[in-house]
Amino acid sequence: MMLHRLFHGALLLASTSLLISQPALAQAQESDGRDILERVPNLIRKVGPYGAEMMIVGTPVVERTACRPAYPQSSIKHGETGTVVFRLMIDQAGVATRARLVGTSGFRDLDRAAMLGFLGCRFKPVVEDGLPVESWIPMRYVWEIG
Amino acid sequence: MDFSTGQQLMAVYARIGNSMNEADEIMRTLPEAERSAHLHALAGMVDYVWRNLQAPIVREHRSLDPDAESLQGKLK
Repeated sequence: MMLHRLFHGALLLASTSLLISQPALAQAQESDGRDILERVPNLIRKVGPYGAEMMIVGTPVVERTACRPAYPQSSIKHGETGTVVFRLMIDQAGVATRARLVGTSGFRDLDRAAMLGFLGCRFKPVVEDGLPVESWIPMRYVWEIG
Repeated sequence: MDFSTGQQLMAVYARIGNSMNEADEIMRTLPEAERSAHLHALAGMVDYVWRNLQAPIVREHRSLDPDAESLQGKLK
């Protein structure tokens, strides 16, 4: 996967689609992140440092660790705030292994900090028919300077 | 920093990125706990390289932005 790439150029996580399993790809392409966010009613909200608010969408997925992306110092300095909408690939063991940007906050540093900050973090894996499966989960991370 | 130097450095950082991707592929074979810790650390390094080495050059020389095309009109 292109861990160091955030978009289509040199720094991106987006060109990972060739490396994910076909069922997961189909699920990820089923609709955009916004549709998924609006369809699933259960949100888990947690307030992090600097008022950053995280919403993990969907009941099967629960964070198991206290991973919190750090607010980029330069973004604090420039008063940058916004909401990053993205997807995380959670593997069968529950480790976040990939991220794909769905909607930008308008600030690249915030987008990158949110997505990269969750890579490697551990979640409860999605379970289908009693078995953990690799899945893309929609995420929304709100950066606010309190 | 002059354009030519910026260009050379961005090329080096792109190669560093490729090396980090190699590490990423290997890390995926580790057991869960190690995979989690190593991936998180690597992601931190990716972010560090961008913020501290690449972004300052891109701010000075927009044409060296590797994501320019895909970001066009999307950022504030």
